[in-house]
Amino acid sequence: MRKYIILILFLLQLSVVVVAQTHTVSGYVKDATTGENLLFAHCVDRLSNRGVTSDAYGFYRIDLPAGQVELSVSYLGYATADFRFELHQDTVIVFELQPIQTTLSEVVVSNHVSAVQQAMMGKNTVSMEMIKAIPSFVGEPDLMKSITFIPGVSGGREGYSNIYVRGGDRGQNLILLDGMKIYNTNHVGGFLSLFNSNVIKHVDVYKGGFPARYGGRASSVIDIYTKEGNNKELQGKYNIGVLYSGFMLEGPINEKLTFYTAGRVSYYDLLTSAARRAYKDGDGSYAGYTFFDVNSKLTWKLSDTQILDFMFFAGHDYQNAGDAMIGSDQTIDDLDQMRIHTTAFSARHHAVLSPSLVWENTLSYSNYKTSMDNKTTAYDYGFNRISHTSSSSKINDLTLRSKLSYYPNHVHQFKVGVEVSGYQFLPSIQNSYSEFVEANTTEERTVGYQSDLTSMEASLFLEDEMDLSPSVKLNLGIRATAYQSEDTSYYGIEPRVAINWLVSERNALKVNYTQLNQYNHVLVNNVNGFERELWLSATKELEPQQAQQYALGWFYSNTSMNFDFSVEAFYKRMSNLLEYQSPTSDTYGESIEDLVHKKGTGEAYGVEFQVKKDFKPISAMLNYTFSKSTRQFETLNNGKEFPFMYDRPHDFSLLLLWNINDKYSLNSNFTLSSGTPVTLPVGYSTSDDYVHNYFIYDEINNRRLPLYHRLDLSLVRTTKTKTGKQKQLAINIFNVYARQNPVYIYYNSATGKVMQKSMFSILPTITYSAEF
Amino acid sequence: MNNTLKICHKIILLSLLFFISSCIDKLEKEIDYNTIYAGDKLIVHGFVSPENGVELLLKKTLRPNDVNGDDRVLSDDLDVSIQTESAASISLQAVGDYQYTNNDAQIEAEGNYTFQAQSAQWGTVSSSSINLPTKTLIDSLKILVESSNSGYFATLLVYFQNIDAENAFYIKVFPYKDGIQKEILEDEKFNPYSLIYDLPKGVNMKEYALGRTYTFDSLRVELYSLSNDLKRFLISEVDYDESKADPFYPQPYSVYSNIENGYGIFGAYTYDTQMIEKPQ
Repeated sequence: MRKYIILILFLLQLSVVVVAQTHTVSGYVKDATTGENLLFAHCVDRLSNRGVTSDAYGFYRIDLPAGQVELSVSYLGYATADFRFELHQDTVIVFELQPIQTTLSEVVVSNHVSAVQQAMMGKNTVSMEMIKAIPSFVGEPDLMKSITFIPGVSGGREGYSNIYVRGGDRGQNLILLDGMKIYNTNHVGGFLSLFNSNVIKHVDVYKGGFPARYGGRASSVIDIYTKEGNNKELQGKYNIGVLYSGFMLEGPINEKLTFYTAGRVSYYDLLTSAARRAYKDGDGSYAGYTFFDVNSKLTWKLSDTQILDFMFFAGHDYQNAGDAMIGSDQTIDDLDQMRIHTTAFSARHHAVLSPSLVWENTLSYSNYKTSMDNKTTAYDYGFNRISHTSSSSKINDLTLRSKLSYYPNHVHQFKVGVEVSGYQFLPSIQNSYSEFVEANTTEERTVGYQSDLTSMEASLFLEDEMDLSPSVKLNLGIRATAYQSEDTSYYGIEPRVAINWLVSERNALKVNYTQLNQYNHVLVNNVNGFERELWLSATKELEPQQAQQYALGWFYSNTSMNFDFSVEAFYKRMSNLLEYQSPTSDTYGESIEDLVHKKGTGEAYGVEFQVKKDFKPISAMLNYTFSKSTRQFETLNNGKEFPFMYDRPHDFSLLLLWNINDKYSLNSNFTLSSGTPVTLPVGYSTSDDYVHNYFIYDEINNRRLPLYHRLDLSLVRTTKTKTGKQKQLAINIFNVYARQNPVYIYYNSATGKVMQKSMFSILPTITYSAEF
Repeated sequence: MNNTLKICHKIILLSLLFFISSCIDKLEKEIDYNTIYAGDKLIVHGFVSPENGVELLLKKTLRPNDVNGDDRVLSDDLDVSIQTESAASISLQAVGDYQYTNNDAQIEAEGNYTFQAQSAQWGTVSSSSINLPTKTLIDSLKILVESSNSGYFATLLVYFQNIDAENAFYIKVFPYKDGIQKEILEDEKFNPYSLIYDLPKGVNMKEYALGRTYTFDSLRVELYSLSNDLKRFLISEVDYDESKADPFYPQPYSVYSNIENGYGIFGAYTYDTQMIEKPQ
């Protein structure tokens, strides 16, 4: 700890030397047509070459030498604005940028903020334009699937929207939606992302080198920002797709108050309505699935310096299946239901206390709850039986976050803050009841947690983003954490360091070190192919997960050639990992602590390459990752190390975006990667007089699935109405050459042949969207 | 507005048509894949019981892609025996290609037994030491009979006292008609899905469904008490089936084995039996 303090003092001292006489220019960057604040816009003075990025509310602040200033303000999808003026005193300027038609080349190779200049390595920004440009799975832009295009991020199984970052587990990703922690990211068990692309404005993905303001997860941060409502006019958008349709409405309520609300709803259940009626009449069966989500935001600009916003988010999935039969000897009514609720809301306050001091406060509540239910009543050849089983799991999270950003001069940007979270868990409870009427017997059973668990996490963080010299940037931070669960307490210190050395105008070397603690664990429970996440707190038995990551990278950017290249190498070590085996007949009723394999370690390392080139009118982005990720548990695989479930040593993707003309664009995405590990048998026992046949297994993940490759295409026609509103028709073809990629392979026990099962063949879809 | 709705309707229908047509493609196929094989190992499936003595068979593992291969052991020098704590070891002789037995073997209640096989080819293959379980007696039996349009149907209720929550049981029922036992076809010694376990201590009742084919005038009921290893083996068979049936199960579940340097199960059981007449 003393070493860190000495280092901070040294750097503060150093900064005094480089500070010169300056004045401050501050204000907001706005959209000229909607009045919406533009978050993370780039402001650079061309004369002094100093640059800053506006914050999450569009507020910027830059210290510039007195005299002539040539300030350039840019944002993807907007015309760059240049301002020349003489600076003699602190000045407030509100920049209003005009939106323009975004070209796909900008999407791939954005010249606004060069990766070379960013202090953070391991941070990737995903723009909404990028999400929309990538050919998608069922025709709808999908945030989580777009993130898997980032080198080092794996998407798990084909078609699913899960995220595995640099060999980490899916529960190690901190997902923030306008500051609210989101504990579930999927609809339909993972096939669709929960996030509505109509409201997403900006996404930052941190694979490593997390700033100290983030914590609580061991692998990544996905920080999602949604738009503000239009404060000039009421406007909307609707879209119609294969599986669901959506809408978005936004506008001003008064001069200071704007809103947006957006929703999506599936209509698969419409197809099953006849079967559902037959079931309700007592004779028929059906299987239904419904999901919907809602995003709403109210933004209140209290004054020129204060903004208050309220955000509400809800996602709901409901799967149900019924089977009813009426006969003379048998009458059966069997109903299965599964519900997944994700709800969150937040209130945020952003206050510019002075150009040098910004205070942000967030109060958020997040809830994730799953439940399953089965009811069966049967009259079976004279006997009446009733059974009812149910299970549920939930996590509630109430978080208060307060952050003060202090800009004493152009060298330092301090961020200091506190975050306090209270958690309420019900990891799993299962109830069963059965009654045999004629025998006059009943059986009732409850297993799992009988009451909620509670815990509390408090963090204090200090971060300084320093421009030590024109060529050296440093982000130094420390996060101190304390966690109190029902039976124990834990404390942690997490140092964070990120250095960017601008070797030349086009070349930068970056290095970072991150240490993280994750106190809340997630276990993935597989139920009939649907994965449910069970959250539980660190306890005496289940110690907090820890991760350390080192990364080194070289970034090259040649703006005149529209060419970017980067290579990053990382090494990550994780400890106290858990591996959950779904309850079996043997372990049914045992506590979760007894079911998990504990104190696992994980190791991941790799090299990630990214090349971006704009050939005009075609833009290309090529990604390649070589990596290895393993796990080791004393109680698994005889204590031997084994490959992580989603380890893909080679992962390659090529994205080509072609602007054919003003109306049409053709986009393609080609993916090629190693197969994921799989456990296959090493022997076979035939059927005999005493025992049925079975395969014999030894080591976990002892083989790999065959190579994975796929080509997706999308043709997009964009037109505008006379009033300037956009209409878009998109034809997507997922898996163009109908490659049967393996989801799993198995030995046929009758023939011994190796069989491969795929999930998707060619999948063409059409979507239509229009603004009004 | 009407035009817009029509366009929407057409787009949805067309999209669904595309979607459904692509989903009906055959997505399962045979592939060439390099099989790995752990090498030949002995598989033991055997039981000891005071009632039936020694029932045991030996075979060898097959390659996963050669499920119809020859799994006979065919070793002349294989020395197979059951080791006991209290008495001399019981030497077993081969009967046919797989079975090993000793008709003179005396299996005493509550003894400890260990399987062992030795040969130059297979080395020493042995089981863990197993305890013969304590016999649980049937307290009483009851038959519930219901008439229906297509015959009569019955449920047998078996009452017994369970003294340990870890115990595992199994019920077999043999129908008699005019004093003659009707033939019952069994695929395996114990159907793992009918295993009875995880019962509370005290008096228990388990029901046994008797289908319409059970035309009988009396029943012989056997209540088996199983050794702990045998219970684990049967439970693992169910878990194995479930994990095999669900391709997204995190890992395949291995069938339990208590055999060292080989695979399989060496278990023990004992049973109590009672007769019951069908109520008039």
